[in-house]
Amino acid sequence: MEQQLQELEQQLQEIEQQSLRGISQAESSGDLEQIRIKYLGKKGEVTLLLKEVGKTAPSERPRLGKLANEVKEKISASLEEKTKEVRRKERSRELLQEAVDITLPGLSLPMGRTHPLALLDREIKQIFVGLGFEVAVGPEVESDYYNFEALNIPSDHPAREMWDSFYLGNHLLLRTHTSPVQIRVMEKRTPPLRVISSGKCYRRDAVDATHHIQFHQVEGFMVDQGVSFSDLKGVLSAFAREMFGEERKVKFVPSYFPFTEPSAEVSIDCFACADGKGREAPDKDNRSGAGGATGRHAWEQPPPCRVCGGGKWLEILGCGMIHPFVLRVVNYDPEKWSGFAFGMGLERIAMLKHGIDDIRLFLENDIRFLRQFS
Amino acid sequence: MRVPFSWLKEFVKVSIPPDELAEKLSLAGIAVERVEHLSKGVSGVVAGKIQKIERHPNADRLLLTRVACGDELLQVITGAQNVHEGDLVPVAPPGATLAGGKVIAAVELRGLPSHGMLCSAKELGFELDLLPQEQRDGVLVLSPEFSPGMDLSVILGLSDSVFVLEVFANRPDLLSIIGVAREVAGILGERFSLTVPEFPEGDERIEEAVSVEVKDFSLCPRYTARAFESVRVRPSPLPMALRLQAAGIRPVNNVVDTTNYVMLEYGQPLHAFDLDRMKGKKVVVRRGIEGEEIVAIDGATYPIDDRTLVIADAEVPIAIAGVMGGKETEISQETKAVLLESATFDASTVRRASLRLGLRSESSRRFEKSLDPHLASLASHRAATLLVSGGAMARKGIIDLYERLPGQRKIQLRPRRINFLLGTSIPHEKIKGVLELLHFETDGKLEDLGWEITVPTSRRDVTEEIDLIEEVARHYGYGQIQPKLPSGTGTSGKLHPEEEKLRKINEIMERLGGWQVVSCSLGDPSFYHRFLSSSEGEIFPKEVVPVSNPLREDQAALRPSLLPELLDCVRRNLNMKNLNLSIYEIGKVFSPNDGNVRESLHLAFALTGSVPGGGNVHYFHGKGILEALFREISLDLTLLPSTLPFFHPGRRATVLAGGSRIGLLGEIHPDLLDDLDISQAVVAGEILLEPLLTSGKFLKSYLALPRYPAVTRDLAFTVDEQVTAQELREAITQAGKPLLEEVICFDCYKGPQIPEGKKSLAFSLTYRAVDRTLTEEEANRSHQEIMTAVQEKFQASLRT
Repeated sequence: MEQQLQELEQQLQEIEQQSLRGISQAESSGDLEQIRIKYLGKKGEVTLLLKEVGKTAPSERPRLGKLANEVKEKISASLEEKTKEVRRKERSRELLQEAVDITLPGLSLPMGRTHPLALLDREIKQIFVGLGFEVAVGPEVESDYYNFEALNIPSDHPAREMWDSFYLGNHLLLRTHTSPVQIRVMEKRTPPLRVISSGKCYRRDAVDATHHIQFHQVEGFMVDQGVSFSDLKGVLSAFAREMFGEERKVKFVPSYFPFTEPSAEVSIDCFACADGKGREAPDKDNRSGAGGATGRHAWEQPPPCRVCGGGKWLEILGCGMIHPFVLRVVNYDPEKWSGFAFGMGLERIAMLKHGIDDIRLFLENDIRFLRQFS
Repeated sequence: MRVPFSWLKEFVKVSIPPDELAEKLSLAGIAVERVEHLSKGVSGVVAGKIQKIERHPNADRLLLTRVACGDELLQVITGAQNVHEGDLVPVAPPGATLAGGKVIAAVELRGLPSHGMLCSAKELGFELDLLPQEQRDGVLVLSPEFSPGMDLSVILGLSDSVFVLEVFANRPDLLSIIGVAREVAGILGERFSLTVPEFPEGDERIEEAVSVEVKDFSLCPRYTARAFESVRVRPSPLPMALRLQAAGIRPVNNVVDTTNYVMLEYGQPLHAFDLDRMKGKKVVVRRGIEGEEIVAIDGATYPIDDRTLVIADAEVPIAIAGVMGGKETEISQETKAVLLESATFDASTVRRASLRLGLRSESSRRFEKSLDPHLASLASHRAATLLVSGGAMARKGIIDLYERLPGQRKIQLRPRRINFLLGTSIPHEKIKGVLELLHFETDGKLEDLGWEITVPTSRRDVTEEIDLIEEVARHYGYGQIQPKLPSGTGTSGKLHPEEEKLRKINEIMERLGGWQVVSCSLGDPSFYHRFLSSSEGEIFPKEVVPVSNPLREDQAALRPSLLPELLDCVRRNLNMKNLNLSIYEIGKVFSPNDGNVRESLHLAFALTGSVPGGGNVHYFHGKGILEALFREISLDLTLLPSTLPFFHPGRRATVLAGGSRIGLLGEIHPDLLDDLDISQAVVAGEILLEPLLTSGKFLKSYLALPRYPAVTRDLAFTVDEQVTAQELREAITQAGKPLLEEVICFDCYKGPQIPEGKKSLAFSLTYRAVDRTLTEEEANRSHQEIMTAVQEKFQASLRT
């Protein structure tokens, strides 16, 4: 009996030593599984030994049982630890197999974009909202009254030439400018007002690189007590610099619009000219005078600037003090209220800003064009 | 308007270079588009008188000439054969430069020295086709008004500059040299002078040659006529012809050129009639008579009606007043007697006639902007001096008919108002000075309350105080006005509420992969017709809105839908090999509405090509976009079968929200794609935005997250093919109240295990109670009720 017990103890120790050695030598999860089955499986050596323990004298059973269980747990723990280790090794081999050519193209994921004109529209509005202007909207199909008459352009007025229109019958037409929104807003509200509005306009014009039958305008006006030409200059200079850069020079030149007086055209100095003389920047690679990529010799005059064409000034908008006729039309007393109004073409501003040379690109919506703006 | 610098300088002293003057003009509101420098590089060429011509002793084809050029007598050898003793010709002595840069030197020709060269028109840089035939070849023979020794490069305008002006519609006075000269004088502080010399008149009175009658002075406020005899029609003297050319008008003959010359100089159009061809020697200014017509000098026949003002002789119209003269009485080589008309016609009448007949002329351009009647007699006088100096004999007197000439306008001007509106503090003396330089008279009393300003009749655009304020502002200089940011009552800037919502929709569409496009609202009606609806209730109209005056057929209607242009955009991109597209547009569409036009804001999208993850787009990608959009603004999306013909008949739907039709969705019909040359499937949808903007929730409030767990069960039914997922879903939702929280259809199956004519639809159902943990029994009971209800309603069998 005693001998049997000793044998059992010895067997347990041997099993422990053997199995732990086996585990430490195992190299794959398959090896480890075999070891598990050999010792801990249903017919494994430890399992069988535990059954043997059950047959021993009750007085010895607890001690032997404890011993056997300790061995079993040691093996289990060791197996578990070794399994983890082997698994990591195996995985790192597998991962290497999964290596990809990291320079292959990524998957194309859907990402939409805003049209460049809409982006510019938001940018301009944001500037004016910051200057206290609120946004108003108006229809694209207008009456002759709002598009012309209320704006001091009676029928037969030669100035109507400036706005050749598409008529729809019944004194309706496609608006030729956003200025009718001025009238619509002033009719309904009382000053002080600072309003900006934008949208599509239409002119009956032959389509070419700089003209289209459809374009977008942004229109704004301000009416209050004591608004002067000085305020007009202040607000629009602030806008021009915000839009085109703090360092821009802004020039106001007299112009003519029937609904403003005095009227002005606003220009900025060209931001693309290198020397302020309307010429392209000299080619840096061309200093040797050996010709270079442009084939131009160093002593030749650079070609005219591609943005201003040598004119040095870029017209960006039209503006003026609201004509007393217009104020009277909406029953504002011109002696009490005064104001200014301005309008600009979105396409023109976008073309200047991005160096786009053909207005038709905006409506063609070629994805390769749209992709360039965000 | 083209203004030659040399012409301008006849009326005002200018001592600065043309480019500098251009800058000053622009800053004062006379927009100079550009300055053209006409110099062809000619210098040193003078007029010379040929005193003697001999044959060259050593050459048959050369002539030996002696030419007097002022004090010098030069021996010049020439090959030209068109010269005669006594002729005045251009001579280039040694040192002179010809057009193209050739410098003349003394040379020896066949043994004899030649001190210079006699020049042809070409060698002086003239455009030959602008010259009369006889001046094109050989040496240019000059008319007698040149004297030997004169520097021709100046006289012939060979070194002139031309200002190209953009004249605003309110300033017809600037369509004249003297008008521009007045402004230049004002800008430079110089005196403007206009002196017209007297001319000799004959003894016979004009009234003996012609009578004039004006029927309606409201259409013709002033009509003047002069008559000339012994007229010799021939090419104009070179200086006049050259000036006309520089100003952009082709020389014709001395009579016509004179009328054009004076029109350019004074801004008053004139017309010359062949007096002998006028029937009855009578001029009647009257309305046309329906049925009359006239062959104009351009050779075309124009119909006349009673809205057209005509100049008639005793029988027929001989000119369309202010627009164009008639062929019958045109000045010709045979013309001996001339009637010179200088009149003022009603601006609107001229403008309408010119629009109606499609005839724009230099004359109508000026009349339609309203001319000063005082100009008519001045211009007539000026033209008479030119005709008489050219050899014509003027009959005595002028016929001058008018009811009343406008007086000088007087306007109250408050100097305080000027400084108030401009934001300046310009001293009164300075204001007065500016106005007086521009020929506005002040009444002398410089009271702050107001001055009375007298407006020159040439400035018909100045009618009220603000016009005077503008005059002061532009001559004071906009650059002098200090910018400031407005003070006063503050207003707060904000976007329009609708725009904020639209930007949210833009953002959703772009998160879903959409690229925004902007297309034209005008297009081809025949293309648009394919998208009109034939049935009531669809969102597209039954008709398009036509444009009354289209320029082209493919811009002749307003778009009834965004889809046509989107499909066109797809087509263009596919042509450019942009094969995978997801585009959308937000914009107005138009429909006829009882004589008016209704405009409504739509959203449309189109998808084509492959989708991320593989496969090509189909109906459900489009539906996915609509679902996501509606979910984002908390709206329920319901679809009904549709019959719209431009969609695939088995893949098209009408979109419903709140019980009304607000849109459509489908795969574009392959027949339509064929017609557009599109060879891959396109899915498209369009919806009205108005219902989305009003019913959508754009500002969401927080909903508490559920605190108790849910029970999820799947359920599959076999039903008739015609039964839609939406119908089943509605029945399930109805039967599952109140515990059923969510129903998702996750599979639609047809195949071997399903009988012919049937399909299987599988749903995932989520049950939850808001106030407790749901028990299995409760969920089972609800589930059972749903099964029973659906089985009964659709004769559905449960699939397990």
